[in-house]
Amino acid sequence: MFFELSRLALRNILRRKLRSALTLIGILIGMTAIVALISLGQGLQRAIDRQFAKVGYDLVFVIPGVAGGGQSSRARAIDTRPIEPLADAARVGAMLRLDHAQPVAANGVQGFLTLVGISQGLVPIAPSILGGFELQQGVLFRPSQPEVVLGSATATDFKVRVGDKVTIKEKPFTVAGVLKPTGELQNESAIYLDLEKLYELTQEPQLVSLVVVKAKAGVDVQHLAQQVEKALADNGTRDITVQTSKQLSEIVGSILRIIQVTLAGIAAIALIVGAIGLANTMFMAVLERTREIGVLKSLGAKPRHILSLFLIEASLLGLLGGILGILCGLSLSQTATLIAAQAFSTVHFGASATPELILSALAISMLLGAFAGLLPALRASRLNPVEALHYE
Amino acid sequence: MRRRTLLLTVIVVLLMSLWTWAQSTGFFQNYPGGYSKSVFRITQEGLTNPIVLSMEVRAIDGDKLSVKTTNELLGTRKDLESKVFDGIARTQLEVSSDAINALRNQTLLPNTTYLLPGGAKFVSENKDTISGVEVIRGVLTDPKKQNRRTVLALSSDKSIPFPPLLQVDEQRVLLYVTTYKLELTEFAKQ
Repeated sequence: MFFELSRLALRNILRRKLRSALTLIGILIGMTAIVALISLGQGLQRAIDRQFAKVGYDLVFVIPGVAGGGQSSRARAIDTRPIEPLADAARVGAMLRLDHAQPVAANGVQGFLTLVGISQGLVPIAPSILGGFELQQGVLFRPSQPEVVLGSATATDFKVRVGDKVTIKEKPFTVAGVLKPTGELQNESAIYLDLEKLYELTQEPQLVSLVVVKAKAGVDVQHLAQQVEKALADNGTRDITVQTSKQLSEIVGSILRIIQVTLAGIAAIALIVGAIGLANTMFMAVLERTREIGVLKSLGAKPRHILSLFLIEASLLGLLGGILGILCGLSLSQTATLIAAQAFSTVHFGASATPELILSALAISMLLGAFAGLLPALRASRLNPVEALHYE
Repeated sequence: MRRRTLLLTVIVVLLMSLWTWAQSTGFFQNYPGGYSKSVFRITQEGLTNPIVLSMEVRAIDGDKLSVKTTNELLGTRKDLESKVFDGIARTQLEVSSDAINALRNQTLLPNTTYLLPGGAKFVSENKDTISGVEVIRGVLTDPKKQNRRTVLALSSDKSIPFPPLLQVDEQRVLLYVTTYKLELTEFAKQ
């Protein structure tokens, strides 16, 4: 019986192709927006999770400035010495990214480039927390040596290789290594050197953009963060933000979830509008087929058969709109990822469509169709067969 | 009343923009002292009349500076509601780019190519004078914005808040069209 009714419902849908297609488009638009937004959001969430997993959840970050406090987050003096003796800290490192570009010259080429100072404590974990800090040639700079590691674009533009000399603020430095190209021009055109050597150049010791403390294995990282905050406060360091990598991951994740829910909510409005369109189409179908319903009832069809027929028809419309919407949504999210990759040169995420997302989208679109068709189907099932047969 | 409110809003945004920029680039930190007055004219594609900005800075004893900023603009209600805000936002965006910040307060030689953060390049040309200020002209290109070039004139005088000339040209088919221009029209210092 179900298959008979399904075949009849499908025939009814195909009988009025244009109207069915227009109804489908309503559901399709809503489902496209939802699937595209959710798959992009899931892709972004995965990329963030991957990044934090790479960084590790055993780190404590000390960032200049107070979140939401209106303080400047620019580099400032933070003395890391009180943190170093903490029993739970395995390693303490700091970095400084100079706000103002410095004069650099090599092989007759001149420039004003960003200098990044990295302390020896940070060097082993730098590749995981600094995007693209991976050597292509040579070695890293040695402690307190006049050596630098160049971003790949800097090395190419200055036409230098490992062992060559560059001058920074008229002081000579040896190129110890060159980083792999990453596509991120800000990092590729930077120069990396030992933090102490950078202090010598700038004459501003203890100025840092970031302090990183790595916890010992098995240590409560949150407790270490409290110890770090207290040690710095006792030393008179104020206006800083201390966060664990887990906290940062949670903050980023919750912001992303809020954005996702908001956008999906907006997209859901389109889906609801589509469902209203479907309900309207079904009401029209009941009116147009009143005599047909009368014939079916006079031939023995029960109200539940009529109810099922219209419900199946509405569900099928919803399901077809859902399938097309999923296909369009996935194409849209893939296109958006490609455009983003071209526009921003480095996009380390791709849209992610899990089987759960696809199955949920299919179920929602079918249920939404059934829900939208419920009232018209009930009206059809309750029609008096004699009155229905006389309906003009 | 509506027009007055609109003008007031525009003025507040203009002043905030100027202050934010001046603070972010360390202009006040590096101000050499004494009195200076700079007047700039901003013209932009789609904006009927130019926006005229002025900044007067007077050093008062020790660490204090007295700063007076004014602006003049004349536009239809429609202009004021849309294009003027575009002009202000764009000024903030253009003068705050990493490449332009990298060139500020640097000693530049004529006819030299300079590599800048983000892969940008500045090719300096000859020395020139704009409103009595000695400048080095040049063209800035950025690999992220391949269809445009920025004609710059830079001065080593730290009492001028913006570059004396910042002209953005965008390539439309074969020709470059100027879409934005910030120019020093008056400068005095004591």
